[in-house]
Amino acid sequence: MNKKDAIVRIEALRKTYATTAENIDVLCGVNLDLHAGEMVAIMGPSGCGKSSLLHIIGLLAPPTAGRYTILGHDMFGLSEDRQAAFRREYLGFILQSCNLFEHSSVYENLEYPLIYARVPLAMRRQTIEQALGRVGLTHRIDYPTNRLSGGEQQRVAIARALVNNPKVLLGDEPTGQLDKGTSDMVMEYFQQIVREHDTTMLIVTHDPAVAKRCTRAFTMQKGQLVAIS
Amino acid sequence: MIALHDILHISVRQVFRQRRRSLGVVLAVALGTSSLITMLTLGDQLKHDMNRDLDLLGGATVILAGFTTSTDTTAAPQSFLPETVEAIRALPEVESASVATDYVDWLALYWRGKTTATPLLGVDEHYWHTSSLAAIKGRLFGAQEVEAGERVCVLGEELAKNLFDTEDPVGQYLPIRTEVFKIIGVVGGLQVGDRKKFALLPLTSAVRRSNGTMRADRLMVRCRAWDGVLSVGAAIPGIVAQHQNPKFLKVDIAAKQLERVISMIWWIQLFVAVSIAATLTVGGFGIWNGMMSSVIARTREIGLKKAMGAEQCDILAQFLCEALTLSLSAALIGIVLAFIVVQTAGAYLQDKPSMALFFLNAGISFVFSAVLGVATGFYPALRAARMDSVAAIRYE
Repeated sequence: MNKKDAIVRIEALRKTYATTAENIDVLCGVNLDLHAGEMVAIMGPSGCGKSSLLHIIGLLAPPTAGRYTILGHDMFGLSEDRQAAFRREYLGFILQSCNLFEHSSVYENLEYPLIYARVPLAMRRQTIEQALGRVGLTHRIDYPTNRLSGGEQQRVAIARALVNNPKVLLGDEPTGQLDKGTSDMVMEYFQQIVREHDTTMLIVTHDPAVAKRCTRAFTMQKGQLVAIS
Repeated sequence: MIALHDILHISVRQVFRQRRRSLGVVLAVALGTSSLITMLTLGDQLKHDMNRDLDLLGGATVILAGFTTSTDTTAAPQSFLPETVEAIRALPEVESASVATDYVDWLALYWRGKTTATPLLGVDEHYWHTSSLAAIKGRLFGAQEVEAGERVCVLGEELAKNLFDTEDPVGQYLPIRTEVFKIIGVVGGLQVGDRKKFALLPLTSAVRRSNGTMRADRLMVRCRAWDGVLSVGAAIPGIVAQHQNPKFLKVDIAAKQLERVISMIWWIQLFVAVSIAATLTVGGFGIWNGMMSSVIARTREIGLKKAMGAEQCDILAQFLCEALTLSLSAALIGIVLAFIVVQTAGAYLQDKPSMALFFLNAGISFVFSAVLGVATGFYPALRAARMDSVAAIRYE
């Protein structure tokens, strides 16, 4: 892979949290290229800055300095509404469990990204069925989410992240609260999606088993990414 | 911003799913709205009815006017001219005006072997309504009999009993002075007072046959409501002056009674208004509090929606629309409640309330509820919209 193929490019990215007592540098000049069809894991102890990096890549938090592009578009200096538009078009988030909307059906959970992307009502059901088909849950489309198992709930969350066909999937410990069996199954879905749809995936995890399944893995040390061989 | 039908759909669904939490708030606003509509719709009718009831007690809305020449014996006697009375009757605040004789001719009436002291009073056809008198037997004389000066009379119920005992007086003839008058009816009821002993003659008949002692110099004006009494009382001298000499005119208003009635009504209206305002304020705070709790409880949901690409205006619109849904559903319930109350009260008051007025007031209340929803829902919605995405996603 060369530099031209990078979907996401981060150069000299810095993030400093200012407190009354001191300034805490959590990211100190991070460089990272994410390419189509690869799955990258970032590991590290709690508070090392891996989630901060994920939030910056997900346009949920601003960096202090550096350069960040998605498909060549500079992400710095965008208004909040433009950032939201990029999130709708290019990014999909999968968080730890319990990130589905309560008292809602599977359909309703998957409908929200489509609503925000202004997808016409007539096209939504078919689009949602396709997304659920990727995780094998089409039959659960009208099922209340609080009656699904933990593994099914996380598969619905994956389907929701995929429903807009994002270029980049961002997972913040997506298997963190799942048992090993369910975790393996979810990781298989991730691998399948990345392989079949040429999607780029960045996963923040504590679990070495998850990192092993990724194309590349990094650990965050003193605000820098260090590749794990 | 996302499509309007999506915002409406999401908001109504959310409010419906949290209906148990919102029930108290919705009921408070609904009660306030229904009270407001009921008061606005039935206000005039209640005022009219209260006016009538208060009149039975004290005649607070009746104005008495007369020409008093007793202090000046050289002055020419005066009567109210028909055009003067018509001009007063034409005032919008006046419900009816009646002319009567001031002088009561006490006649020693010899009838069937006994003498009965019988006061005679001449009145016009408007006297009955203006004095709230009704026939308990027979009928009361009308405009034609007054105009023609017919020899008919109406007896007070006590006089009728004294003269005829259990016999029906209606249709009998009574000798008054040198002429015979046909008895056509008997008056009675709450308002009859001393007139239960009177023989009431048509004004023209009484004046013509009194040898100049009886004149149409007494005017009784009934106003539609107590708040018109002062202005009508003030206008009477000017109107009289436009048509005849107002010298010796005296206008009497039951000022103290009126003052007490106005004061009492003012306090009642204030109490009702404060109660409605308090109910709506409690409802408004309820919506505000409910929305604030909802924003806090749904922090993670807000963060997730932002991560999905929701813009600030999408989140703002959704929460604002939820507040609006609450207040407008309360308004709709309030309108239905008010409709039931207005119809029931209308049946009780034996009056058909104006549906046009009801729907106008319902419309006003609906708009008011919308303003209440926006006013109380805006800050929680703004807070949700401006929530930090990362903090919201991490919220437990």
